[in-house]
Amino acid sequence: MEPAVRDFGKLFEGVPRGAWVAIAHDESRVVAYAAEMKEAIRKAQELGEESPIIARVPQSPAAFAF
Amino acid sequence: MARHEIRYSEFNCAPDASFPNGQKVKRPILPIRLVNGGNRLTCYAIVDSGADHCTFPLSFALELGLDPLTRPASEIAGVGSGAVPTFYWTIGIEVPTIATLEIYAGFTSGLEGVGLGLLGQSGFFDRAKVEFDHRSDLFVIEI
Repeated sequence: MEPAVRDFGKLFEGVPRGAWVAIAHDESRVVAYAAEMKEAIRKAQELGEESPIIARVPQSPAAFAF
Repeated sequence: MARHEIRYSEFNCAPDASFPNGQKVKRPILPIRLVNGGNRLTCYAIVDSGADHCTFPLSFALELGLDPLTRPASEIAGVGSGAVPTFYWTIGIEVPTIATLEIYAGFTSGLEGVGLGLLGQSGFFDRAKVEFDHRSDLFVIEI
């Protein structure tokens, strides 16, 4: 099992910070994005992506320490 | 137990005072599917040995049909913030081609800003053997 997305910086290029993104099930591209998660899902489904992968372009482009 | 080798994913961090050229960071990320009855949500989660519990953004709970108004809140703490309310439910987690687990997972507004889940000690590390091999750009899950 291998996530197809190696470089999320590249995948998220052009998407505003803080946006929720709906990613194609094969992880090849961002299908849709929106300020609200539900809206991103709805847009993706309208474009034929029934079960997109949901992620968010981090609001803060900082390193994580959980 | 089956052994699954997975490559790290890269994220960009913006330039700041300590890293004037910005930085690329590697994170051990998995695509997973959260399941509550007929409701499903596919997302990413960080395999996070520092997390006590498996925890997800609160909006994921709403998408799964889980209502925080029906649950008492617990508190969890992380770097740079005080404790944040967290709501727990038992849900299913499908890690494609690896495993399906039933776990007691937390959902908190504290993860809204990152939009990722955390696969932590209780629920994930207590069921899977995990090896981190950053130098080889791999992490390994045996479950």
